[in-house]
Amino acid sequence: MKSRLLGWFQPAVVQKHRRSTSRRVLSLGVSVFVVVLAAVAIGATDGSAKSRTAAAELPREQTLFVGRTGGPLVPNGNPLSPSAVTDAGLRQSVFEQLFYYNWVNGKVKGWLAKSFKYNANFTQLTVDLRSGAKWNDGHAFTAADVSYTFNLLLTTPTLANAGTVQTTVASVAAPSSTRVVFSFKKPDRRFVGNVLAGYIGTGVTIVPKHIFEGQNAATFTFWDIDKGWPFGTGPYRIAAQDSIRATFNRNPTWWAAKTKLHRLPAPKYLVYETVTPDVEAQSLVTNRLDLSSGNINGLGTWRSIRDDNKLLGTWSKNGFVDPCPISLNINTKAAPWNNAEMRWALNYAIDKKRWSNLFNQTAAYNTGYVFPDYPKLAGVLDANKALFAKYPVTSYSLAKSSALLTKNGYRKSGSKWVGSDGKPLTVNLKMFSPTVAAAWGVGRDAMTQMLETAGFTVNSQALDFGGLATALSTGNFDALGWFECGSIAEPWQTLYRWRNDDLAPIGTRNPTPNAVRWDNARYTEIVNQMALLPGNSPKAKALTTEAMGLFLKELPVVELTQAAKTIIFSTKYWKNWPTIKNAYFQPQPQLYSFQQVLISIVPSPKR
Amino acid sequence: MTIRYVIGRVGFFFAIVWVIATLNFIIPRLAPGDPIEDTLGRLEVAGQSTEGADAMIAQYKAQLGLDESLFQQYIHYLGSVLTLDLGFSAALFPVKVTTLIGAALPWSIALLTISTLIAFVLGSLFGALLAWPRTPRFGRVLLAPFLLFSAVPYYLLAIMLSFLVAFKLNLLPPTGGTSAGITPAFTAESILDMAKHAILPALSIILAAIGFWMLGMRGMMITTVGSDHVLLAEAKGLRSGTLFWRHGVRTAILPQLTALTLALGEVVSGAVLVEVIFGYPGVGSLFYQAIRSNDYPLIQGISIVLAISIGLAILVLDLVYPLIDPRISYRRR
Repeated sequence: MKSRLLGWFQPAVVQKHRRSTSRRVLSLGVSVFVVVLAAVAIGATDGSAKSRTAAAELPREQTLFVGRTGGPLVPNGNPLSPSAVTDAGLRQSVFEQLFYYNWVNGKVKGWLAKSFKYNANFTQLTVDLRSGAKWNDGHAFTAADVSYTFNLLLTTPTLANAGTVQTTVASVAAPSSTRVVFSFKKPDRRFVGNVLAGYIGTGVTIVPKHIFEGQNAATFTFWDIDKGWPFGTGPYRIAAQDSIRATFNRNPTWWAAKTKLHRLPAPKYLVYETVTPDVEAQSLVTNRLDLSSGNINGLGTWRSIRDDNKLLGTWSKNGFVDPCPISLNINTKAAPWNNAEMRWALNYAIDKKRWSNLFNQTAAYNTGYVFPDYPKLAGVLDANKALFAKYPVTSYSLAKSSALLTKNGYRKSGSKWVGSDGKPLTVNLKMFSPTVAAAWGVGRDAMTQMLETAGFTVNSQALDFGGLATALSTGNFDALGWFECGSIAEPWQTLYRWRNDDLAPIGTRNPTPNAVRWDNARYTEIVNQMALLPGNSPKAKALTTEAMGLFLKELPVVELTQAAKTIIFSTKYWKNWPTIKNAYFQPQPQLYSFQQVLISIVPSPKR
Repeated sequence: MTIRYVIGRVGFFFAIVWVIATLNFIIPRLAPGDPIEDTLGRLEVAGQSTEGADAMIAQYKAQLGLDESLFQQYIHYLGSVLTLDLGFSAALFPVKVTTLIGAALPWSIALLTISTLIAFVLGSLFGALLAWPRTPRFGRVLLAPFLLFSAVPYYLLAIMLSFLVAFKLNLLPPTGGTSAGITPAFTAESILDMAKHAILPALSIILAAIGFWMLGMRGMMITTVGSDHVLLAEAKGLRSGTLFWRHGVRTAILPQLTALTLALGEVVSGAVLVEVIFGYPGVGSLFYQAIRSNDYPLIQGISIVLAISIGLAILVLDLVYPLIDPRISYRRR
């Protein structure tokens, strides 16, 4: 061995020539190539990337391709796992919800459940299931599955939604195979919408009792494609998955088709594929994708690609308004921002319209209130015009900002505001880094520049998701960019975020969404009263006006923009996409409710 | 080579792995935020209520060992490194770190081994030709542009190739390790499909790396061409091809082999940006997501695999080098 190696590398004058170098290199290269390909073929077929059925390239005209931009797809099919991937087809096509929440009309649509009824004081809820619903392994879907799932959540705090369920639910019972009775710890008239209907990203997904029983639900991954896991009651079954793509086959024995609740969905195959924004845009131009993730780089990208492919469309020219407006949280426990006038001075210094346009890469808008601009909520703005005139929250006025700062003892030193002690008036500003979304890079720069122009000294910090979430929950900020997910059809859910229950001191994680730690007893009293009222009652409307008056006066949170999401679809292969003119459901492919879109699209004649 | 020398090199290998493992433990913990807050933040942005999450956080911290003191975490971590039981991913709980790395590793090894070897062979050959006095002028002109590619970041090449070849010319698939519907298997169809998907990522790595190998080889070849043994061989009237291959390339390539060994040691880390751009399901994509979500156990797992791989490459090189080049000896004189 040694002599051969020595011979190979010694000068040729002392070595016998046997084979040419090129032949050796070629044979070595071919050997390595074959070995490596064999290794990847053998290695990659182990574990998560198996398939039972998929063996040939999918026929394009029978396949729906959907883009996504989230993290890696992993072998975890347990829908109760908080870190399970929720935006890549499993929740949209394999599992189904008891109800689906329609953001457009603000109503819940029964699916696995057909109806619900609260008792008079909203301490008990009775849900009746559809008969004939089946799991995709043939077992009947019954009230025992629902009861079992909720009892798991009551006893296992590490499961998704366990906190909400444990706060609300006292017990769950299944008196018959199609009836479930929930008993609440306190009255809750919105349990169906918030917990059973997949509200925004919430919603408890029911798991099959006959599979989960005897497993540790906190660590059970429900993943073995050879055994048909994971399965749900949905119109598709998982066929294959690697870290970037999940493929599903239509389930010909879907219970809803058998019971004539709905026809089988038109696409025979469904593919969710992880893409970068650039690849997503080009894939839409070339009809490689049928639907974008909704995280595509704003309306600017849509406007730049729509002329390249006339078959592309979107919800409306302004995109689809996300349910979570983007806001600036101002810490009410951090001096001097614990003074409402100082918060207003900060608000006046921000040109919200300009910030919104820069962030969204186009002419976007802000409404001044921290609710999404949805039809059912528009009435709140209209009914409170006098309030918004009194508190002009959308105004940009450096003069008003200066007046408030002067009133509070600040003076200008050069171009900067300083306090009576001569120290600069500093804002510790925290926002997402551009790695979370490119728009945040622009957003943070614009915000910093605006506040610096107004004379504030800004310590600006860009953080990743975990860093910003930690800063938010522990109150380690003066001003922080975040999202306000809450209301869809009535103002209560968003207003309820800022009640003063269990406020934690700065440095400790706050248990409620009131990250700004705004402490207003009357406000909390009002939103607690509203919890028991129907959103459209005169009493609730009056309380809304009073709560919003208190909120606007003290302004702990500033709305920066309505977040326009551009969900782009192609009509090359599929049509009947939801649009503002055909608004049968919200269009986002990452929501549980996309199941309703999936079963409604039809083949396009343009294919 | 003595037993003492071998033991010394093996000891050095373990020392490298220990140092890297320790740094790997400390550095992610210096970053702001933690993986559980990250998960809760994402749940909130997805619209989920995270109220009453304190019990969830406590249980997660206990399961991931994050409720222990840093020293205890470090000791447990070293134990897990020794047993290669890397525990659960924090951001993707309850999936195990070894499951995630195991699924991604074959893709990265395949992509990077092949592209590194191709870049090495072509780069070394082109570098040798550039330095060889009898290479025709037009040949030098044709080869020179490859040096330019070494100045272009490979992710930029990846974006350009994706746009031109995949979307404009529609010649090759822009993303994925396979076509939708094709799953990895040891069949001709599957292997061809995987190869088709690997061409663009591989090309961007090869084009960017060729210049590096060319520069190294050209420098060594210039030195070799002027050496006595080449002059002697030329004086003997040997053919030009024989002079080039057997007296020039074979002598000049030794330092290149050192660099190749180290480069092959790094293949397990994947090519982060290329894999992200091409949606390639390798370790690079996984590493990128692990860093984005502060997933300490996954970051540590990937880094440890990388450290072991590079350490092994260095160890192999240290042990083999005296065998392949008799001028080199680690024996004390």
